[in-house]
Amino acid sequence: MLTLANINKKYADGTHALNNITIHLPKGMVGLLGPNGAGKSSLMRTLACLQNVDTGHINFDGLNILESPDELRKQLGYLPQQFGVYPAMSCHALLEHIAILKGLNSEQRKRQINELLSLLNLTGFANKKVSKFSGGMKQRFGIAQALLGNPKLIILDEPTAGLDPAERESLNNLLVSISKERLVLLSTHIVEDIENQCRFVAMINQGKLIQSGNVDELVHQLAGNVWLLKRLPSELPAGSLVLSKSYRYGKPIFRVYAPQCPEPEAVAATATLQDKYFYELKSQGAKNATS
Amino acid sequence: MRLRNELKYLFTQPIVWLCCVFAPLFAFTLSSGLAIAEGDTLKQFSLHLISIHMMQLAVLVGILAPAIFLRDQLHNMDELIGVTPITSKYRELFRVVSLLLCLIMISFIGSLIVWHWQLRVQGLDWEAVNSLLLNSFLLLIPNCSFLVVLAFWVCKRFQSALVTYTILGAIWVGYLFFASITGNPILAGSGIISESLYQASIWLDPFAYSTIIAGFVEPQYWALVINRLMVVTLTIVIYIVAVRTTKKNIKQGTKASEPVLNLKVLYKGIAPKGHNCFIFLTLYKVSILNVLKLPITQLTLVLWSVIVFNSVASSFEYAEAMSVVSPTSIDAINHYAFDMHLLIGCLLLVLWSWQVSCAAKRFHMAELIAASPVKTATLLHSQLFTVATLAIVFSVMSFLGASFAEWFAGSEYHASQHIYILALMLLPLTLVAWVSVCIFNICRSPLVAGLVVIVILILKFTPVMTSFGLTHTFWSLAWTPLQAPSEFWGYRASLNSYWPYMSVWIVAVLSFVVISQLYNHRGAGLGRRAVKVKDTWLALPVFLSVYLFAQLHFNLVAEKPLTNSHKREAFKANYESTFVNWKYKEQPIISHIDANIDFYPDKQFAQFELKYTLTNPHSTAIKRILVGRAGFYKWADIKITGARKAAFYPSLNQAVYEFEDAIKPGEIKILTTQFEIHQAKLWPAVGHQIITPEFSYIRAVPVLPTIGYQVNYELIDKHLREKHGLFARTSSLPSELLAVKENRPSRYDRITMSSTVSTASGYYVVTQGTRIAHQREDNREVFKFKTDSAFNNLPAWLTLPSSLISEQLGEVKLLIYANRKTLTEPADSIAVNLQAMKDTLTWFKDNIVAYKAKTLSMVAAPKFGGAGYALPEIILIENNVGFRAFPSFDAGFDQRYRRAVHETAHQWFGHDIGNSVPDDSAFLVESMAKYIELVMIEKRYGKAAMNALVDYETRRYKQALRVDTLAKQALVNSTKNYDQYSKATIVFARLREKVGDEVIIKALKSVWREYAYPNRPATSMDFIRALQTHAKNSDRVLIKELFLEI
Repeated sequence: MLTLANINKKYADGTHALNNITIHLPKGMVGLLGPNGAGKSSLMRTLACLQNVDTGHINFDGLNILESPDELRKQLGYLPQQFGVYPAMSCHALLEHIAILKGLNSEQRKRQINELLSLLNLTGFANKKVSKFSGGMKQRFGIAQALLGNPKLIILDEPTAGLDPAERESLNNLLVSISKERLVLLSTHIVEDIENQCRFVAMINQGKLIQSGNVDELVHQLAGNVWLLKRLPSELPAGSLVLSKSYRYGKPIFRVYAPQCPEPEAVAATATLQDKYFYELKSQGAKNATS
Repeated sequence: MRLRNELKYLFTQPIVWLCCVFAPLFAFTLSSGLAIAEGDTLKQFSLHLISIHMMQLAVLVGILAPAIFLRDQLHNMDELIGVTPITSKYRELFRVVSLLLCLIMISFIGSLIVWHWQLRVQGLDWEAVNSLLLNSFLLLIPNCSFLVVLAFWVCKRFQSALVTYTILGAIWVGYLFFASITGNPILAGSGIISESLYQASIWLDPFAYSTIIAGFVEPQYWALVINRLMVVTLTIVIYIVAVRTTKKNIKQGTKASEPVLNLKVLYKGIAPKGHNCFIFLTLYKVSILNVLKLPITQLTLVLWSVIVFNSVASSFEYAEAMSVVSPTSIDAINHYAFDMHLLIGCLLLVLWSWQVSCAAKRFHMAELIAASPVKTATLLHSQLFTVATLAIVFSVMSFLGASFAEWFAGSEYHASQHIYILALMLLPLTLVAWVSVCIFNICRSPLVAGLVVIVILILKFTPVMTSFGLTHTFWSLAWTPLQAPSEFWGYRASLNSYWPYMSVWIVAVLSFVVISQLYNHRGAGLGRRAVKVKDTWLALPVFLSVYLFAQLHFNLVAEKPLTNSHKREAFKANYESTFVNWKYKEQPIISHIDANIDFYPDKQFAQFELKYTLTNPHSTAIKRILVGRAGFYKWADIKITGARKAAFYPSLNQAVYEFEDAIKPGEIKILTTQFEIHQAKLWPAVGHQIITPEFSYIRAVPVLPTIGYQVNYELIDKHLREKHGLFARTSSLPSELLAVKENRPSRYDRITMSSTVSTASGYYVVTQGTRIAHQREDNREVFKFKTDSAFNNLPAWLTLPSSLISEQLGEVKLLIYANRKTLTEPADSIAVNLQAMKDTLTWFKDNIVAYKAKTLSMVAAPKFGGAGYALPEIILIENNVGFRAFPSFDAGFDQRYRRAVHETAHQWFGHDIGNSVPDDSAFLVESMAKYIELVMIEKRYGKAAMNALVDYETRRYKQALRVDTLAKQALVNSTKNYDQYSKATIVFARLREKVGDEVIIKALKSVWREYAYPNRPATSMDFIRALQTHAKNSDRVLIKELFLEI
């Protein structure tokens, strides 16, 4: 549905934000993973036609979006990581304003705004100023505005930031339900959310695409090679990587990638997307260090 | 440590660095070249320091205060900072102190730059150092503290950067206005509108600038001490109030208590079917409401209306001191629609264009809007329409303020006049706002865009490019030469030139709009479209704009070359160095002119055919003569009998003619020339060359060809002479040079003249000489004039459709040409002017010498550069002050009568004697005319009126003295206007009181007897000597003291 070919973007300060990214993203929920400063927001802004690229092509559903950004915007729903609102406008007025900008006529606006307010449980706050909303409510407003119209491409940058667990879960469910007909590109630091909802994931680091594919296939690549250790042995088998260190009841637990059991006390663990993510990051770090 | 931390933060802010660069740069620009070696250098230095601080302190505080006091709020750091252990009281104190230190540092650098210039010109002067330190301690530090705590309170009270900018901006503009009405010399055109206000300002001026300036005339120690104590107390009070002001709690979150999602509702997408037009209207509506809903905008608009009301209501009947007019809407328009409306309008519209263009970014909605399917053109057009609407709203507020003021004053109201001028002014305002919007749309950084806009405003409203010698009207965005209208001829002076400029600017701005539509960051500031090959069509509007500008430029320079002081100085220096050897070469004189002139007022041009009779008055033959025309006129076709053009200097517009046979003593040669004069269409009609249907006036100087070396082209200023490599002139004071009787030219420059002037039907012609014939040929009026005696060589020709009033006074025919329609009740101006002419002629005839010509004409004129001007046999009086005006209820004397007497007196002082000795000052012309004013006013209106005149001139003299930084001069030597007019009045009042008119008249009579034409020309010192001769011994010391001592 969305194809990026050889996308490069360098900022004036020399940062290579997007480094030769080539990827094909299918319809449905697509997760975008990467550490801070990896280039996720740059990629999303590029896809939202907010900034140009230096080289490359982007094709969405047969549309060259770099050549015809106006056409893409007609099919776009966008929620940036941080956004503000006009201070004096109520939730309804602001949704109405954005709906008009999205080209909805009076009847369409009335129907969809009411539906979205109801869907996101904002009906009771429709006449309250968004600038006075709590973080979670504001985020719900953000989702509502992104869903206005009939977007085929929905780009959500950290949509669950600031939401409590219940809000997060509900929102994730909503996103899954709407992603059947469209491409929902979700950027988040919560790997679990992506693992639970996305069929496809792309991982980027330092502007480069380091891995992409179906979530289960990627996770499956580590199957049988992830181990839980209470302490690290003095020497790990060749090709091993410490994926993470966490604590349980105050005691450390190491998740280690190893082609074979690293020590007798090691317990085999089910591989997760997070393991794959750390594995790819650390592998790339090791490669960079070697080169 | 904490203070250091604050300062460290401060100096990492780009805005602080910009202030650190621009403020000293401003000080450098303002002070460079101002410091001069002559005069009261200390006073001059103080004035320069005051002007720097007055112009920049409030602005600097306004710019810096939000960055310091509102930084936590602006950057969402208030909670982070709020939980640090330092108390808010201390935190605020450190911020106030850090801003204060920063401000003092920047301002002190400015002071040092001023001192540096003083040092360069004057050398080290410890008094100047002392003055610098005193200025810093008494003015700079308290004023900075006052402004900083005020800004601190504003920031804390309103917690808005915009409100802070607006309030500090208003303080800046307000103080400049206050300074202008209390006679602050730094502001051109300022004057004391009320003596009590002026006295109050000495004590209550919050910056004490008025106190310091008043101290130039008489010491104001107590006023200064009390003023400073008051300001310090006020500063402390404001600070305490500000500290106690609690922060408004802005974030009042509403917590949702309901479930997050309503799972019963299913999301269904809707394919948009809306119309683009509706998107535009919505963007427009939100955009305009975002500005108009702000209380500060509403307050500003109301305040503006009040300012217009005040400006119009308080002074639109004012003609000049003690003189008023029955005001009309045109008078009201002149009090708000030009400088003030344009300046404030541009500033507000630039501010609003920033608000409109950056609103989405300011509210962090830019990405949401930019990602929506709105066309870039729609986004931009909505902003352009918003600022255009705001320009209309601003104009409507001007209209309401002025209309209400007119209703309040009960004047003759014509709404259409206001609507007409506001519509004309709306266009440049809108264009400025559009350019500003486009810049904010193209530049991704609002800071960079803001800087570009500020540069545009600086170019528009300051003569900065002229100071670099790069004069051009195009530097001023959307500028037109539109001038204030007058009841005399409406907008005739400049309306012709409005559309040629506007049409070019409209095309240029629209081209810019098209470009910014394509290369637009859509408000997000993230990226613009890349330049593509298919965009080459954009070159078309660019080329069209460039072509139109080039065409306008060539039309402009074809009409009148663009000039500035640098170019004029260079021309003069070049002239002098090229022709200085001609200065002492004997040249023929013009003894007679035969003029054949055809005026076409409707077509705005005139054809001249002149024949000069050149006579050799010297005892030796003349082989070569220097003939020239003023630099900006095209060289005329000039032929001289028996001579050929031997050399031509096109850059100086001069030619040397060589006679085949030298002109023998007493021999005559004929010079003929033909040329046309066209009224400039792209420049306003002002000065002494005007050809319009309502009024046509051509003065010989500088249109007519000149003979010989022109002394008036020489540079006088010694620094300029040195700069251009000219020899240093030994300039002696008239009192010293003319103490020797022989130091004077050998003859007066007198001519006779015959004129045949044709003009449009129904028009009169005014020129020197008696009208000897008048006939109508081919539906044109043809007048013939012939002078009865030689007159001062300053011919002029006028043609006008005004009414004519004439009266015979003995052998002299007095003529007044005035437009009766512009006269309002009591409509006695013609009678008053006529009476003044008759009184003056009679007095001179009875006491000194009779008027020599047979006619004396007075013409009501539009604004030509002065209120009154005397040519031989012709007097021009500006219509507003001379004919529309009448004395105000508190006037002690009639200004119309005074001016008419003064100009009539120039027929003797200026055109009979005086004006003929280049080394003499203007005493014998202007100061003597002031003496006649005293005599005539006393004679006609009594002693009280004469005393009122003396009081008026005394006030003017004191005010002028306060601001003058140049060395004082004796009255006879003075080159200063206020000496020649105001001091002269005071001096002659005293002389009349002590010595009496009889002695003065005797002295004048003897001057005429010995030095009137055809004798050698009279000088100021001749009068002083004659006065000494006829005065009693006891009065001689006084005479010397009054005229020859400082």
